[in-house]
Amino acid sequence: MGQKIDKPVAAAFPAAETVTRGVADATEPGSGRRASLPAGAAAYVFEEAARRRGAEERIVERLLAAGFLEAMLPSADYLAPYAPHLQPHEERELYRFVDRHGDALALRADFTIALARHLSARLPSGDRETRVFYRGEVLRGGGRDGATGEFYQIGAELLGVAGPQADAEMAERCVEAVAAGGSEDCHVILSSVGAIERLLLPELAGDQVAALAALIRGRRLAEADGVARSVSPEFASRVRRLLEGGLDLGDPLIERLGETGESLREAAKSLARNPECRVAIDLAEPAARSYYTGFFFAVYGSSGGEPIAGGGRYDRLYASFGPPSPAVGFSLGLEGVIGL
Amino acid sequence: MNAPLRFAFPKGRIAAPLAALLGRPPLSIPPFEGRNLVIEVPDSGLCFLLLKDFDVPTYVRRGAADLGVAGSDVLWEKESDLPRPLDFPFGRCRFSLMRLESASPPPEGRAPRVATKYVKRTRDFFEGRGISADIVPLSGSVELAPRMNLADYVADLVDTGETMRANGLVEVERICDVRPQLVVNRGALARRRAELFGFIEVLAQMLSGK
Repeated sequence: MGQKIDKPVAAAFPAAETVTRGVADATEPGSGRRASLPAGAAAYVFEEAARRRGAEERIVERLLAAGFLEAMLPSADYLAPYAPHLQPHEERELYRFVDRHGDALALRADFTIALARHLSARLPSGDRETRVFYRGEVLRGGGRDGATGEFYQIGAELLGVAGPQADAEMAERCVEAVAAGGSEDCHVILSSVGAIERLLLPELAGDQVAALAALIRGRRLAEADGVARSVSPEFASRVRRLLEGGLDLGDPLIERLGETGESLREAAKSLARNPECRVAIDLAEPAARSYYTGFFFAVYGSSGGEPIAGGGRYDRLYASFGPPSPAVGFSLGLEGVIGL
Repeated sequence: MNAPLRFAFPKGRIAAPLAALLGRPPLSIPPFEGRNLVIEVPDSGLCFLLLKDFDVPTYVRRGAADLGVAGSDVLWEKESDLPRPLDFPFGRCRFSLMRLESASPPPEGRAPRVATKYVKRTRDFFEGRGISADIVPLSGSVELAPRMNLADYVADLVDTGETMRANGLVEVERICDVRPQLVVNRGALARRRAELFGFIEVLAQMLSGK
Protein backbone atom coordinates (compact mmCIF):
# COMPACT_ATOMS: atom_id res chain seq x y z
CA MET A 1 0.00 0.00 0.00
CA GLY A 2 1.23 3.48 -0.79
CA GLN A 3 3.80 2.15 -3.24
CA LYS A 4 4.34 4.29 -6.34
CA ILE A 5 3.35 2.35 -9.42
CA ASP A 6 4.59 3.55 -12.79
CA LYS A 7 5.77 0.73 -14.98
CA PRO A 8 2.87 -1.65 -14.28
CA VAL A 9 0.49 1.08 -15.40
CA ALA A 10 2.26 1.38 -18.73
CA ALA A 11 2.25 -2.38 -19.08
CA ALA A 12 -1.42 -2.69 -18.22
CA PHE A 13 -2.49 0.00 -20.69
CA PRO A 14 -0.37 -0.34 -23.85
CA ALA A 15 -1.09 1.99 -26.74
CA ALA A 16 -4.61 1.59 -28.04
CA GLU A 17 -3.21 0.62 -31.43
CA THR A 18 -1.53 -2.43 -29.91
CA VAL A 19 -4.61 -3.46 -27.96
CA THR A 20 -7.03 -3.17 -30.82
CA ARG A 21 -4.89 -4.52 -33.65
CA GLY A 22 -6.73 -7.29 -35.41
CA VAL A 23 -10.00 -6.77 -33.51
CA ALA A 24 -13.07 -4.63 -34.05
CA ASP A 25 -12.64 -0.88 -33.50
CA ALA A 26 -12.63 -0.46 -29.71
CA THR A 27 -14.49 2.86 -30.00
CA GLU A 28 -17.53 1.25 -31.63
CA PRO A 29 -20.44 1.23 -29.16
CA GLY A 30 -21.12 -2.44 -29.80
CA SER A 31 -17.53 -3.46 -29.27
CA GLY A 32 -16.85 -5.62 -26.24
CA ARG A 33 -13.53 -3.82 -25.93
CA ARG A 34 -15.02 -0.37 -25.45
CA ALA A 35 -12.62 1.48 -23.16
CA SER A 36 -14.72 4.39 -21.91
CA LEU A 37 -17.10 4.40 -18.95
CA PRO A 38 -20.56 5.98 -18.91
CA ALA A 39 -20.48 9.71 -18.17
CA GLY A 40 -19.57 10.31 -14.54
CA ALA A 41 -18.74 6.68 -13.70
CA ALA A 42 -15.31 6.10 -12.20
CA ALA A 43 -12.93 3.23 -11.57
CA TYR A 44 -9.93 3.39 -9.21
CA VAL A 45 -7.04 0.98 -9.07
CA PHE A 46 -3.56 0.81 -7.53
CA GLU A 47 -2.55 3.73 -5.30
CA GLU A 48 -5.77 5.66 -5.89
CA ALA A 49 -7.88 2.71 -4.75
CA ALA A 50 -5.64 2.27 -1.71
CA ARG A 51 -5.92 5.96 -0.83
CA ARG A 52 -9.68 5.85 -1.04
CA ARG A 53 -9.96 2.72 1.06
CA GLY A 54 -7.49 4.07 3.64
CA ALA A 55 -9.45 7.31 4.00
CA GLU A 56 -12.70 5.38 4.33
CA GLU A 57 -11.26 3.22 7.11
CA ARG A 58 -9.97 6.20 9.08
CA ILE A 59 -13.33 7.98 8.86
CA VAL A 60 -15.31 4.89 9.82
CA GLU A 61 -13.01 4.26 12.76
CA ARG A 62 -13.82 7.73 14.06
CA LEU A 63 -17.55 7.26 13.64
CA LEU A 64 -17.53 3.89 15.40
CA ALA A 65 -15.53 5.42 18.26
CA ALA A 66 -18.18 8.14 18.59
CA GLY A 67 -20.93 5.54 18.97
CA PHE A 68 -22.37 5.53 15.44
CA LEU A 69 -23.59 2.14 14.19
CA GLU A 70 -23.57 1.18 10.55
CA ALA A 71 -26.66 0.96 8.37
CA MET A 72 -26.38 -0.95 5.10
CA LEU A 73 -28.86 0.15 2.50
CA PRO A 74 -29.89 -1.18 -0.91
CA SER A 75 -28.23 0.25 -3.99
CA ALA A 76 -31.57 0.36 -5.84
CA ASP A 77 -35.08 0.98 -4.55
CA TYR A 78 -38.60 1.76 -5.73
CA LEU A 79 -38.83 5.33 -6.95
CA ALA A 80 -42.29 6.10 -5.59
CA PRO A 81 -41.41 6.63 -1.88
CA TYR A 82 -38.62 9.03 -2.82
CA ALA A 83 -40.41 11.13 -5.43
CA PRO A 84 -42.34 13.38 -2.99
CA HIS A 85 -39.05 14.43 -1.38
CA LEU A 86 -37.24 15.40 -4.56
CA GLN A 87 -37.13 18.68 -6.44
CA PRO A 88 -37.28 18.38 -10.25
CA HIS A 89 -33.50 18.83 -10.61
CA GLU A 90 -32.89 16.12 -7.97
CA GLU A 91 -35.27 13.77 -9.74
CA ARG A 92 -33.49 14.39 -13.04
CA GLU A 93 -30.25 13.25 -11.43
CA LEU A 94 -31.62 9.77 -10.77
CA TYR A 95 -30.65 6.75 -12.83
CA ARG A 96 -34.05 5.13 -13.30
CA PHE A 97 -35.17 1.86 -14.74
CA VAL A 98 -38.14 -0.51 -14.72
CA ASP A 99 -37.99 -3.97 -13.20
CA ARG A 100 -39.62 -7.06 -14.68
CA HIS A 101 -42.84 -6.36 -12.75
CA GLY A 102 -43.13 -2.93 -14.33
CA ASP A 103 -42.17 -1.01 -11.17
CA ALA A 104 -40.06 2.12 -11.54
CA LEU A 105 -36.77 1.82 -9.64
CA ALA A 106 -33.87 4.19 -9.12
CA LEU A 107 -30.24 3.67 -8.25
CA ARG A 108 -29.14 5.21 -4.96
CA ALA A 109 -28.46 8.93 -5.35
CA ASP A 110 -28.60 9.83 -1.66
CA PHE A 111 -28.61 7.87 1.59
CA THR A 112 -30.64 10.10 3.85
CA ILE A 113 -34.09 9.49 2.36
CA ALA A 114 -33.36 5.76 2.04
CA LEU A 115 -32.29 5.66 5.67
CA ALA A 116 -35.46 7.40 6.80
CA ARG A 117 -37.53 4.94 4.76
CA HIS A 118 -35.85 1.84 6.15
CA LEU A 119 -35.14 3.04 9.67
CA SER A 120 -38.27 4.92 10.67
CA ALA A 121 -40.17 1.82 11.77
CA ARG A 122 -37.19 0.59 13.79
CA LEU A 123 -36.41 3.75 15.73
CA PRO A 124 -36.82 3.56 19.52
CA SER A 125 -39.93 5.34 20.78
CA GLY A 126 -39.70 8.62 22.62
CA ASP A 127 -36.79 11.01 22.39
CA ARG A 128 -34.03 8.42 22.63
CA GLU A 129 -31.12 9.28 20.42
CA THR A 130 -29.93 7.01 17.65
CA ARG A 131 -26.55 7.35 15.95
CA VAL A 132 -26.19 5.80 12.53
CA PHE A 133 -23.62 5.97 9.77
CA TYR A 134 -23.55 4.68 6.21
CA ARG A 135 -21.13 4.33 3.35
CA GLY A 136 -21.35 3.37 -0.29
CA GLU A 137 -21.50 4.56 -3.85
CA VAL A 138 -24.14 7.00 -4.97
CA LEU A 139 -24.91 7.75 -8.60
CA ARG A 140 -26.17 11.02 -9.96
CA GLY A 141 -26.48 11.81 -13.63
CA GLY A 142 -27.81 14.56 -15.85
CA GLY A 143 -26.78 17.34 -13.51
CA ARG A 144 -25.51 20.77 -14.35
CA ASP A 145 -22.49 21.24 -16.56
CA GLY A 146 -21.24 17.68 -16.31
CA ALA A 147 -20.70 17.97 -12.55
CA THR A 148 -22.23 14.59 -11.99
CA GLY A 149 -21.35 11.00 -11.54
CA GLU A 150 -20.58 8.22 -9.21
CA PHE A 151 -18.95 8.92 -5.90
CA TYR A 152 -18.40 7.20 -2.60
CA GLN A 153 -20.42 8.78 0.16
CA ILE A 154 -19.90 8.41 3.89
CA GLY A 155 -22.34 10.04 6.23
CA ALA A 156 -23.66 10.00 9.76
CA GLU A 157 -26.97 10.91 11.30
CA LEU A 158 -28.06 11.81 14.79
CA LEU A 159 -31.73 10.95 15.19
CA GLY A 160 -34.13 11.76 17.99
CA VAL A 161 -32.27 14.87 19.14
CA ALA A 162 -33.28 18.44 18.40
CA GLY A 163 -31.53 21.67 19.22
CA PRO A 164 -28.39 23.70 18.61
CA GLN A 165 -26.02 21.34 20.47
CA ALA A 166 -26.89 18.46 18.17
CA ASP A 167 -26.50 20.71 15.11
CA ALA A 168 -23.10 21.91 16.28
CA GLU A 169 -21.98 18.41 17.15
CA MET A 170 -22.73 17.08 13.67
CA ALA A 171 -21.02 20.02 11.97
CA GLU A 172 -17.99 19.36 14.14
CA ARG A 173 -18.07 15.61 13.41
CA CYS A 174 -18.27 16.36 9.71
CA VAL A 175 -15.13 18.49 9.86
CA GLU A 176 -13.39 15.77 11.91
CA ALA A 177 -14.35 13.20 9.27
CA VAL A 178 -13.05 15.43 6.48
CA ALA A 179 -9.77 15.82 8.38
CA ALA A 180 -9.57 12.07 9.02
CA GLY A 181 -10.06 11.57 5.30
CA GLY A 182 -6.96 13.65 4.68
CA SER A 183 -8.24 17.06 3.60
CA GLU A 184 -5.78 19.51 5.09
CA ASP A 185 -7.89 22.58 5.63
CA CYS A 186 -11.52 23.33 5.23
CA HIS A 187 -13.84 26.28 4.93
CA VAL A 188 -17.26 25.79 6.50
CA ILE A 189 -20.24 27.87 5.50
CA LEU A 190 -23.11 27.86 7.99
CA SER A 191 -26.61 28.70 6.88
CA SER A 192 -30.27 27.96 7.47
CA VAL A 193 -33.25 27.21 5.26
CA GLY A 194 -35.62 30.15 5.04
CA ALA A 195 -33.45 32.47 7.13
CA ILE A 196 -33.21 35.11 4.41
CA GLU A 197 -36.98 35.18 3.98
CA ARG A 198 -37.47 35.68 7.73
CA LEU A 199 -34.98 38.53 7.76
CA LEU A 200 -36.77 40.39 4.98
CA LEU A 201 -39.88 40.65 7.14
CA PRO A 202 -41.78 42.74 8.08
CA GLU A 203 -40.74 45.33 5.48
CA LEU A 204 -41.69 43.11 2.54
CA ALA A 205 -44.45 40.57 2.14
CA GLY A 206 -45.44 37.58 0.03
CA ASP A 207 -44.03 37.52 -3.49
CA GLN A 208 -41.74 40.47 -2.78
CA VAL A 209 -39.95 38.43 -0.11
CA ALA A 210 -39.49 35.47 -2.46
CA ALA A 211 -38.26 37.70 -5.28
CA LEU A 212 -35.70 39.55 -3.17
CA ALA A 213 -34.53 36.33 -1.48
CA ALA A 214 -33.87 34.85 -4.94
CA LEU A 215 -31.82 37.92 -5.89
CA ILE A 216 -29.81 37.62 -2.67
CA ARG A 217 -29.13 33.90 -3.20
CA GLY A 218 -27.99 34.67 -6.76
CA ARG A 219 -25.75 37.48 -5.33
CA ARG A 220 -27.42 39.90 -7.73
CA LEU A 221 -25.81 42.91 -6.06
CA ALA A 222 -27.15 45.78 -8.11
CA GLU A 223 -30.72 44.49 -8.42
CA ALA A 224 -31.00 43.50 -4.74
CA ASP A 225 -29.45 46.80 -3.64
CA GLY A 226 -31.92 48.66 -5.83
CA VAL A 227 -34.93 46.95 -4.27
CA ALA A 228 -33.57 47.34 -0.73
CA ARG A 229 -32.75 51.03 -1.06
CA SER A 230 -36.32 51.74 -2.06
CA VAL A 231 -37.40 50.43 1.37
CA SER A 232 -35.04 52.12 3.84
CA PRO A 233 -31.32 52.65 4.54
CA GLU A 234 -31.46 50.15 7.44
CA PHE A 235 -33.09 47.56 5.20
CA ALA A 236 -30.47 48.21 2.48
CA SER A 237 -27.69 47.60 5.02
CA ARG A 238 -29.38 44.36 6.09
CA VAL A 239 -29.67 43.16 2.50
CA ARG A 240 -26.06 44.09 1.78
CA ARG A 241 -24.88 41.95 4.73
CA LEU A 242 -26.96 39.05 3.46
CA LEU A 243 -25.56 39.46 -0.07
CA GLU A 244 -21.95 39.41 1.05
CA GLY A 245 -22.30 36.82 3.80
CA GLY A 246 -19.64 36.38 6.47
CA LEU A 247 -21.90 37.66 9.25
CA ASP A 248 -20.33 38.39 12.64
CA LEU A 249 -21.48 36.20 15.50
CA GLY A 250 -22.78 39.30 17.20
CA ASP A 251 -24.76 40.49 14.19
CA PRO A 252 -28.32 41.31 15.26
CA LEU A 253 -29.57 39.42 12.20
CA ILE A 254 -28.46 36.18 13.85
CA GLU A 255 -30.20 37.17 17.08
CA ARG A 256 -33.44 37.62 15.13
CA LEU A 257 -33.33 34.01 13.95
CA GLY A 258 -34.12 32.57 17.39
CA GLU A 259 -33.17 28.90 17.79
CA THR A 260 -31.75 28.77 14.25
CA GLY A 261 -29.47 31.67 15.17
CA GLU A 262 -28.45 29.74 18.26
CA SER A 263 -27.51 26.75 16.08
CA LEU A 264 -25.44 29.00 13.82
CA ARG A 265 -23.63 30.55 16.79
CA GLU A 266 -23.11 27.25 18.57
CA ALA A 267 -21.68 25.59 15.45
CA ALA A 268 -19.47 28.59 14.64
CA LYS A 269 -18.01 28.58 18.15
CA SER A 270 -17.37 24.82 18.14
CA LEU A 271 -15.73 24.86 14.73
CA ALA A 272 -13.62 27.93 15.50
CA ARG A 273 -11.74 25.84 18.05
CA ASN A 274 -10.32 23.79 15.17
CA PRO A 275 -7.24 25.64 13.79
CA GLU A 276 -7.58 23.91 10.40
CA CYS A 277 -11.09 25.20 9.95
CA ARG A 278 -12.34 28.61 8.73
CA VAL A 279 -15.98 29.34 9.47
CA ALA A 280 -18.39 31.87 8.00
CA ILE A 281 -22.11 32.42 8.39
CA ASP A 282 -23.54 33.01 4.94
CA LEU A 283 -27.32 32.75 4.73
CA ALA A 284 -27.21 33.04 0.92
CA GLU A 285 -25.47 29.68 0.59
CA PRO A 286 -27.85 27.33 -1.24
CA ALA A 287 -29.03 24.19 0.56
CA ALA A 288 -27.57 21.10 -1.08
CA ARG A 289 -30.67 18.98 -0.56
CA SER A 290 -34.28 20.06 -0.55
CA TYR A 291 -35.27 18.04 2.54
CA TYR A 292 -33.31 20.32 4.89
CA THR A 293 -35.65 22.16 7.21
CA GLY A 294 -33.38 24.49 9.19
CA PHE A 295 -29.69 24.68 10.03
CA PHE A 296 -27.36 23.40 7.31
CA PHE A 297 -23.72 23.74 6.35
CA ALA A 298 -21.36 23.23 3.43
CA VAL A 299 -17.69 22.34 3.67
CA TYR A 300 -15.30 23.48 0.94
CA GLY A 301 -11.76 22.18 0.60
CA SER A 302 -8.62 24.13 -0.16
CA SER A 303 -9.45 24.10 -3.88
CA GLY A 304 -12.31 23.21 -6.20
CA GLY A 305 -15.68 24.71 -6.75
CA GLU A 306 -18.11 22.36 -5.08
CA PRO A 307 -18.51 21.46 -1.40
CA ILE A 308 -16.64 18.31 -0.44
CA ALA A 309 -19.00 17.69 2.46
CA GLY A 310 -22.11 19.11 4.03
CA GLY A 311 -25.05 18.42 6.19
CA GLY A 312 -28.03 19.82 7.98
CA ARG A 313 -31.24 19.31 9.88
CA TYR A 314 -34.25 17.57 8.34
CA ASP A 315 -36.92 17.31 11.00
CA ARG A 316 -39.83 16.51 8.67
CA LEU A 317 -38.40 13.60 6.73
CA TYR A 318 -39.06 10.78 9.20
CA ALA A 319 -42.70 11.77 9.69
CA SER A 320 -43.41 10.92 6.05
CA PHE A 321 -42.26 7.33 6.56
CA GLY A 322 -43.32 6.64 10.15
CA PRO A 323 -43.18 8.24 13.59
CA PRO A 324 -41.73 11.76 13.49
CA SER A 325 -38.17 12.21 14.66
CA PRO A 326 -35.84 15.18 14.71
CA ALA A 327 -32.77 14.44 12.63
CA VAL A 328 -29.48 16.06 11.74
CA GLY A 329 -26.68 14.58 9.69
CA PHE A 330 -23.81 15.07 7.34
CA SER A 331 -22.22 13.36 4.39
CA LEU A 332 -19.01 13.68 2.44
CA GLY A 333 -17.88 12.62 -1.00
CA LEU A 334 -14.71 10.64 -0.45
CA GLU A 335 -13.17 11.46 -3.83
CA GLY A 336 -13.52 15.20 -3.14
CA VAL A 337 -12.10 14.88 0.36
CA ILE A 338 -8.97 13.07 -0.76
CA GLY A 339 -8.66 15.02 -4.02
CA LEU A 340 -8.98 12.11 -6.45
CA MET B 1 0.74 36.88 -0.15
CA ASN B 2 -2.33 35.17 -1.59
CA ALA B 3 -2.27 33.53 -5.00
CA PRO B 4 -3.84 35.75 -7.66
CA LEU B 5 -7.55 35.43 -8.31
CA ARG B 6 -8.05 33.40 -11.49
CA PHE B 7 -10.30 35.28 -13.88
CA ALA B 8 -11.94 33.31 -16.72
CA PHE B 9 -11.85 35.75 -19.63
CA PRO B 10 -14.05 34.93 -22.67
CA LYS B 11 -12.19 35.33 -25.97
CA GLY B 12 -15.39 35.73 -28.04
CA ARG B 13 -17.52 38.69 -28.99
CA ILE B 14 -17.28 40.56 -25.67
CA ALA B 15 -13.49 40.26 -25.38
CA ALA B 16 -12.79 43.74 -26.77
CA PRO B 17 -15.20 45.77 -24.60
CA LEU B 18 -14.32 43.70 -21.53
CA ALA B 19 -10.60 44.27 -22.11
CA ALA B 20 -11.30 47.98 -22.56
CA LEU B 21 -13.13 48.08 -19.22
CA LEU B 22 -10.39 46.20 -17.39
CA GLY B 23 -7.80 48.51 -18.97
CA ARG B 24 -9.28 51.52 -17.20
CA PRO B 25 -7.99 52.68 -13.81
CA PRO B 26 -7.83 51.61 -11.09
CA LEU B 27 -7.37 48.09 -12.54
CA SER B 28 -5.36 49.24 -15.62
CA ILE B 29 -4.93 45.74 -17.00
CA PRO B 30 -2.72 45.97 -20.12
CA PRO B 31 -3.92 44.40 -23.39
CA PHE B 32 -3.29 40.67 -23.70
CA GLU B 33 -0.62 39.90 -26.25
CA GLY B 34 0.97 36.73 -27.57
CA ARG B 35 -0.48 33.25 -27.62
CA ASN B 36 -0.15 32.38 -23.95
CA LEU B 37 -3.59 31.52 -22.60
CA VAL B 38 -2.64 32.21 -18.98
CA ILE B 39 -1.72 35.80 -18.27
CA GLU B 40 -0.75 36.88 -14.80
CA VAL B 41 -0.77 40.61 -14.23
CA PRO B 42 1.66 41.43 -11.43
CA ASP B 43 0.39 43.85 -8.77
CA SER B 44 -3.23 43.45 -9.91
CA GLY B 45 -3.74 40.25 -7.94
CA LEU B 46 -5.32 38.73 -11.04
CA CYS B 47 -4.42 35.92 -13.39
CA PHE B 48 -6.45 35.75 -16.60
CA LEU B 49 -7.36 32.47 -18.29
CA LEU B 50 -8.28 33.11 -21.93
CA LEU B 51 -11.13 30.75 -22.75
CA LYS B 52 -13.82 29.94 -25.26
CA ASP B 53 -17.06 31.62 -24.17
CA PHE B 54 -18.81 28.30 -23.59
CA ASP B 55 -16.01 27.05 -21.33
CA VAL B 56 -16.15 29.92 -18.83
CA PRO B 57 -18.96 28.43 -16.67
CA THR B 58 -17.19 25.07 -16.56
CA TYR B 59 -13.91 26.57 -15.38
CA VAL B 60 -15.67 28.67 -12.77
CA ARG B 61 -18.06 25.99 -11.58
CA ARG B 62 -15.32 23.44 -11.09
CA GLY B 63 -13.00 25.89 -9.37
CA ALA B 64 -10.31 26.08 -12.06
CA ALA B 65 -11.16 29.80 -12.10
CA ASP B 66 -12.38 31.89 -9.15
CA LEU B 67 -14.53 34.18 -11.24
CA GLY B 68 -15.22 35.00 -14.86
CA VAL B 69 -17.50 36.63 -17.38
CA ALA B 70 -20.10 34.68 -19.33
CA GLY B 71 -23.14 35.56 -21.38
CA SER B 72 -26.54 34.84 -19.90
CA ASP B 73 -27.15 32.74 -23.05
CA VAL B 74 -24.20 30.49 -22.23
CA LEU B 75 -25.18 30.29 -18.55
CA TRP B 76 -28.71 29.19 -19.48
CA GLU B 77 -27.36 26.60 -21.91
CA LYS B 78 -25.06 25.20 -19.22
CA GLU B 79 -27.85 25.24 -16.59
CA SER B 80 -25.50 27.26 -14.46
CA ASP B 81 -26.50 28.21 -10.93
CA LEU B 82 -23.33 30.18 -10.25
CA PRO B 83 -23.68 33.43 -8.31
CA ARG B 84 -23.90 36.37 -10.74
CA PRO B 85 -23.11 39.56 -8.84
CA LEU B 86 -22.80 41.98 -11.79
CA ASP B 87 -24.16 42.58 -15.27
CA PHE B 88 -22.10 44.41 -17.86
CA PRO B 89 -23.57 47.18 -20.01
CA PHE B 90 -21.75 46.12 -23.19
CA GLY B 91 -22.19 43.08 -25.42
CA ARG B 92 -25.93 43.00 -24.90
CA CYS B 93 -28.01 41.46 -27.63
CA ARG B 94 -31.08 39.27 -28.04
CA PHE B 95 -31.71 35.60 -28.67
CA SER B 96 -34.27 35.32 -31.41
CA LEU B 97 -36.16 32.92 -33.60
CA MET B 98 -35.67 33.65 -37.31
CA ARG B 99 -36.86 32.27 -40.62
CA LEU B 100 -36.20 32.92 -44.30
CA GLU B 101 -38.15 35.93 -45.43
CA SER B 102 -39.13 34.17 -48.63
CA ALA B 103 -40.13 30.87 -46.97
CA SER B 104 -43.68 29.70 -46.47
CA PRO B 105 -44.60 28.37 -43.02
CA PRO B 106 -43.55 24.75 -42.34
CA PRO B 107 -46.29 22.11 -42.84
CA GLU B 108 -48.51 21.67 -39.80
CA GLY B 109 -48.23 17.91 -39.91
CA ARG B 110 -44.67 17.76 -38.61
CA ALA B 111 -42.58 19.39 -35.91
CA PRO B 112 -40.84 22.62 -36.92
CA ARG B 113 -37.12 22.13 -37.53
CA VAL B 114 -34.94 24.63 -35.72
CA ALA B 115 -31.19 24.97 -36.23
CA THR B 116 -29.25 26.37 -33.27
CA LYS B 117 -26.09 26.35 -31.19
CA TYR B 118 -28.29 26.76 -28.11
CA VAL B 119 -30.10 23.43 -27.91
CA LYS B 120 -31.33 23.68 -24.34
CA ARG B 121 -32.49 27.29 -24.54
CA THR B 122 -34.33 26.58 -27.79
CA ARG B 123 -35.94 23.40 -26.48
CA ASP B 124 -37.03 25.23 -23.32
CA PHE B 125 -38.61 27.96 -25.43
CA PHE B 126 -40.63 25.56 -27.55
CA GLU B 127 -41.60 23.39 -24.58
CA GLY B 128 -42.82 26.52 -22.85
CA ARG B 129 -45.17 26.99 -25.80
CA GLY B 130 -46.27 23.37 -25.72
CA ILE B 131 -44.64 22.74 -29.10
CA SER B 132 -42.47 19.72 -29.90
CA ALA B 133 -39.65 21.06 -32.07
CA ASP B 134 -37.08 19.09 -34.03
CA ILE B 135 -33.84 20.74 -32.88
CA VAL B 136 -30.91 20.58 -35.31
CA PRO B 137 -27.73 21.17 -33.28
CA LEU B 138 -25.06 23.16 -35.13
CA SER B 139 -21.84 24.70 -33.89
CA GLY B 140 -21.82 27.84 -36.04
CA SER B 141 -23.02 29.61 -39.21
CA VAL B 142 -26.54 28.63 -38.27
CA GLU B 143 -28.02 31.29 -40.59
CA LEU B 144 -27.18 29.02 -43.50
CA ALA B 145 -29.45 26.19 -42.34
CA PRO B 146 -32.81 27.47 -43.72
CA ARG B 147 -31.23 28.43 -47.03
CA MET B 148 -29.98 24.88 -47.47
CA ASN B 149 -33.34 23.45 -46.35
CA LEU B 150 -31.73 21.94 -43.25
CA ALA B 151 -34.18 23.73 -40.96
CA ASP B 152 -37.33 25.87 -41.02
CA TYR B 153 -36.07 28.25 -38.37
CA VAL B 154 -32.88 29.44 -36.75
CA ALA B 155 -32.54 30.34 -33.08
CA ASP B 156 -29.49 32.49 -32.48
CA LEU B 157 -28.09 35.71 -31.11
CA VAL B 158 -29.00 38.92 -32.94
CA ASP B 159 -26.89 41.99 -32.35
CA THR B 160 -27.22 44.56 -35.13
CA GLY B 161 -29.24 42.19 -37.33
CA GLU B 162 -26.77 42.57 -40.20
CA THR B 163 -25.92 38.85 -40.48
CA MET B 164 -29.59 38.00 -40.25
CA ARG B 165 -30.53 40.33 -43.11
CA ALA B 166 -27.51 39.35 -45.22
CA ASN B 167 -28.78 35.78 -45.15
CA GLY B 168 -32.34 36.68 -46.06
CA LEU B 169 -33.72 36.00 -42.57
CA VAL B 170 -36.36 37.87 -40.62
CA GLU B 171 -36.95 37.86 -36.89
CA VAL B 172 -40.05 35.89 -35.94
CA GLU B 173 -39.79 36.34 -32.18
CA ARG B 174 -37.39 37.68 -29.57
CA ILE B 175 -36.92 34.78 -27.15
CA CYS B 176 -34.90 36.62 -24.51
CA ASP B 177 -32.37 39.37 -23.93
CA VAL B 178 -28.74 38.37 -23.48
CA ARG B 179 -26.14 40.15 -21.36
CA PRO B 180 -22.66 39.38 -20.09
CA GLN B 181 -22.53 38.64 -16.37
CA LEU B 182 -19.80 38.27 -13.79
CA VAL B 183 -19.90 34.76 -12.32
CA VAL B 184 -18.22 33.64 -9.13
CA ASN B 185 -17.18 30.24 -7.89
CA ARG B 186 -18.82 29.27 -4.59
CA GLY B 187 -15.68 27.64 -3.24
CA ALA B 188 -13.70 30.80 -3.94
CA LEU B 189 -16.42 32.76 -2.18
CA ALA B 190 -15.95 30.54 0.87
CA ARG B 191 -12.16 30.79 0.80
CA ARG B 192 -11.61 34.39 -0.34
CA ARG B 193 -14.80 36.24 0.43
CA ALA B 194 -13.29 39.63 1.33
CA GLU B 195 -10.97 39.70 -1.69
CA LEU B 196 -13.70 38.70 -4.09
CA PHE B 197 -16.21 41.21 -2.82
CA GLY B 198 -13.47 43.85 -2.80
CA PHE B 199 -12.79 43.16 -6.48
CA ILE B 200 -16.51 43.08 -7.30
CA GLU B 201 -16.93 46.45 -5.61
CA VAL B 202 -14.11 47.94 -7.72
CA LEU B 203 -15.72 46.60 -10.89
CA ALA B 204 -19.14 47.88 -9.82
CA GLN B 205 -17.73 51.36 -9.27
CA MET B 206 -15.99 51.29 -12.65
CA LEU B 207 -19.24 50.29 -14.29
CA SER B 208 -21.15 53.07 -12.57
CA GLY B 209 -18.48 55.55 -13.65
CA LYS B 210 -17.39 56.46 -10.12
